[in-house]
Amino acid sequence: MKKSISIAFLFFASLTAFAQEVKKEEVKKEPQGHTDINKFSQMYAEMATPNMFRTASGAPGPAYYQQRADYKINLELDDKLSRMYGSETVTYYNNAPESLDYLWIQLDQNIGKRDSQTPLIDNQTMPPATSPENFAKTYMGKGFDGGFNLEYVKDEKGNALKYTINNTMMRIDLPKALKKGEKVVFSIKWWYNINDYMKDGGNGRSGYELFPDGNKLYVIAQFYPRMCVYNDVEGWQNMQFWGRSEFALTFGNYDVKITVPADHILDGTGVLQNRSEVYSAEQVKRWQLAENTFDKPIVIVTQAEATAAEKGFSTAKKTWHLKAENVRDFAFSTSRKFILDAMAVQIGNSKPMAISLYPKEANPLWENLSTKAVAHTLKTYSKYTFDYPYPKAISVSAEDQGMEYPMICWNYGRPDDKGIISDRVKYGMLGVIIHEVGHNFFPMIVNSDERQWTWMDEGLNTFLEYLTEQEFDKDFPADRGPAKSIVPYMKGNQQFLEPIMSHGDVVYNFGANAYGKPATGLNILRETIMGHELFDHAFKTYANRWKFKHPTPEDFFRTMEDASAVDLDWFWKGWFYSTDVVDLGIKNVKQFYVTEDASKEVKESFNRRGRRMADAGPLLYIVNSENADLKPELKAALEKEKVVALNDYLTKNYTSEERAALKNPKFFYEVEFDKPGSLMMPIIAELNFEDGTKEVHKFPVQIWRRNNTTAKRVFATEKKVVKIQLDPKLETADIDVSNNTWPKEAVVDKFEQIEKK
Amino acid sequence: MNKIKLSVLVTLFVLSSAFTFHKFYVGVFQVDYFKEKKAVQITARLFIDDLEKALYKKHNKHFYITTKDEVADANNYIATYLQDKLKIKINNKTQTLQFLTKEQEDNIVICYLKINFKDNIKDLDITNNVLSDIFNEQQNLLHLNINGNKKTILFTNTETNQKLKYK
Repeated sequence: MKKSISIAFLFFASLTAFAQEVKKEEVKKEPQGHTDINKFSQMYAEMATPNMFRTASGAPGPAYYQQRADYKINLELDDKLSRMYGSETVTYYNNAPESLDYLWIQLDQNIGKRDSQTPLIDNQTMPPATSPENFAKTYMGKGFDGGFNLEYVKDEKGNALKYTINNTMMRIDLPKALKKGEKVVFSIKWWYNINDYMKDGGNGRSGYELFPDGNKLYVIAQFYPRMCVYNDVEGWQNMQFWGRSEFALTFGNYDVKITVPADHILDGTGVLQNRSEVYSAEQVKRWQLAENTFDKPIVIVTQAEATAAEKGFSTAKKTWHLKAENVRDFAFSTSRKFILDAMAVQIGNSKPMAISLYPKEANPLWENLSTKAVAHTLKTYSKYTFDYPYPKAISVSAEDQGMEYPMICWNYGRPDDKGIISDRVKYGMLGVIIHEVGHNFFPMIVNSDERQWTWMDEGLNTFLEYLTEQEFDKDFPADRGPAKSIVPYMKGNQQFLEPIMSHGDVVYNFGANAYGKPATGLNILRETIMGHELFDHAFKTYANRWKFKHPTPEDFFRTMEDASAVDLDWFWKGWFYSTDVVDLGIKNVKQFYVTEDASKEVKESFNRRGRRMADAGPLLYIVNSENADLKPELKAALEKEKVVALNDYLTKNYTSEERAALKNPKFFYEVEFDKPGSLMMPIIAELNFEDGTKEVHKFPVQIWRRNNTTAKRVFATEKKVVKIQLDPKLETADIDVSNNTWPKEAVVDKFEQIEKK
Repeated sequence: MNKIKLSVLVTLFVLSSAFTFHKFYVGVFQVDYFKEKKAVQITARLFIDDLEKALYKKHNKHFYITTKDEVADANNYIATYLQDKLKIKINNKTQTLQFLTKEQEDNIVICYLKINFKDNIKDLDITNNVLSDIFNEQQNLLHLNINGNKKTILFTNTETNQKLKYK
């Protein structure tokens, strides 16, 4: 009710404004024309012109190319000083048709340098109270001494290469341009201080967790200078790393040797090359058993072994050797606290290992659930995309973390200090494991540009996470996926909303914008607009076309249409490129009765046109229930035998069998739907009949094809309609459901309800 | 209050902005006043785990909000916390927030509060530090509807106070 008043007021206000406008204007002016503003117009303006690199179908084109970088890395961890020493030899292949004069390399650790720009872009104010420690840290301390310390950058022959560092990016100037098909080899040596990620800041996605006994649990990533992506869309993707928008990385092969204290257990991206040197004979046997066990995790490093190891603080060293093929990155985790369990997962013809690494503090939660969740995620994601191509997937228990790398991820969730595991912790831990393991598919394999488009991996991944969670446990609490969950975000103040197609660093509500809304959009496409069969095929097509490649948003949008024959440009424009909202409503419902008596209006209309009623032939008259002329006895269900003209027609033109097969409508309703929101959706109307049964009618979104603001439909029913409910399953993200019901239902005053109790 | 614990927690949460999952700090408040209702009605939608951490920080104990292990008087602690962090002055007088009840919706807790008030609102002075006292990135969106006059205000850890005038 309030709504209609305010709309009427706005309408009146705009009328008066218009009237004043007309008065002022004295020069003659014809009505202004406009360009094509139809909401179904195709996105020729928004999208790049297809070319030989990327086709109009959304697939890689005949000239598609991508670069390659192979790494040989040697690392040594100083556990006492929490310091990492590393050296690498990078072989970079230029597959672009053009020559490159310089290379860009990412120095992500520099975000933790004392002169890092990242803290300088935050607002600061004086707090009314603070702890001495915090005060000393903020105003007196120098801050954590992070960032890469480079010892050399050399070419293949050992000659120093010229380089320039711009914060988190480094340019190496090549002595000779790198032509198409050529490769360049260079080496870098560095060291850096590893941050206590709960205390020091710096690179919050990696570092170590300190335990009271001095043990550390390292989760190590972004630990080496990494090649930027060079491609046909961005040239060098060398946007600075500010801390939020993640990474764009080149595929290649990794050969990594990591030296850590001898009592550590370590695992990371790739296949372990020297298991017998780093595991005990007994552990090797358990591993072999795990490789053939598909129904439950096998404990390979036991809690007793881990508890014994964490007391040792060995000064001896051990080197772990890992090799990975066709990955975009490398990460690992190491600690003497680690328990390790694993099981094999049957995916098509391959048997990747699902693995978990966790300290005793994570039990009994992790031993029961982590590896099972990893296995379930690999199976479910494979079903919706492609068979998981990597040999393993590891889930590491790291408090306050949720971060993904190829074949390995860090996940939060442990029992609290009293040993209590609440459902929130359990489902939170399962949700984060499913999400981060799921990232193996997006963006580790379907390798979109995270630095520019957060939603392309987070949105797609959150969507599959939702499906995977629901398949894991039908009562899994879903906070992102169902349409109704995004409503509080979408109906928020427009000042704080940005389109999904915005850079991750600039949005206010990052979680809702880049995770929740795109995931919900895909769910709406699957459930409401495309249906499972068309959606699943198109989504799978996208995943398979772009696995081990670098897709753009347009490649996704185009493939979804190309593989399904569903025109979705209107949806991309509304849901992804704008902050438009959905609000459909029932504006008006009129009930009609069928009579043989012409109403006054009809008679007058005939008179005006100078025609006689008799000339019109037999007619049925349809009278609105509110028409004053309608005799009360006519306000009844239609009995077709009693309406002579209709009965005559039916008897003359149909056999008795045919008549028996006809529908038998008795009640007639003309429903006017409106659309206060500018985002379009199909109309889903549920008719509720007198006898308690229901019937759902769905009208395609094209019902709004002329940018119309209202749409009318007639429902001829056999049973009396007592209620019409729009979007009964809340599947369209309608931000205001108070106009979704006829007859209008009073909005429940929650406060009155509470106080009555 | 245990200061050492406090400072550790402060730094811990200040630095957790970089994570990629769930770590988004947003509270949504709805403040409605219709004179005929003789009360300002307030709902606060907060992430349960964040509120739990805030209370843990303050009292050094777990409350297990909305779980089967929830401590008996958790509502009193929540009420006190909200009264402390959401300060509303109407016509230059500090008002008392009355905690009515709370509900769970997925991982969000919805707190229902009210202020008994029946005059015209002329001046509204809102200080909102809810969760932004411990989470550097906390954003509190507050939707106001004062007799149909709607406005949305954003509170952050650096913008904690807003003053409004009504005719």
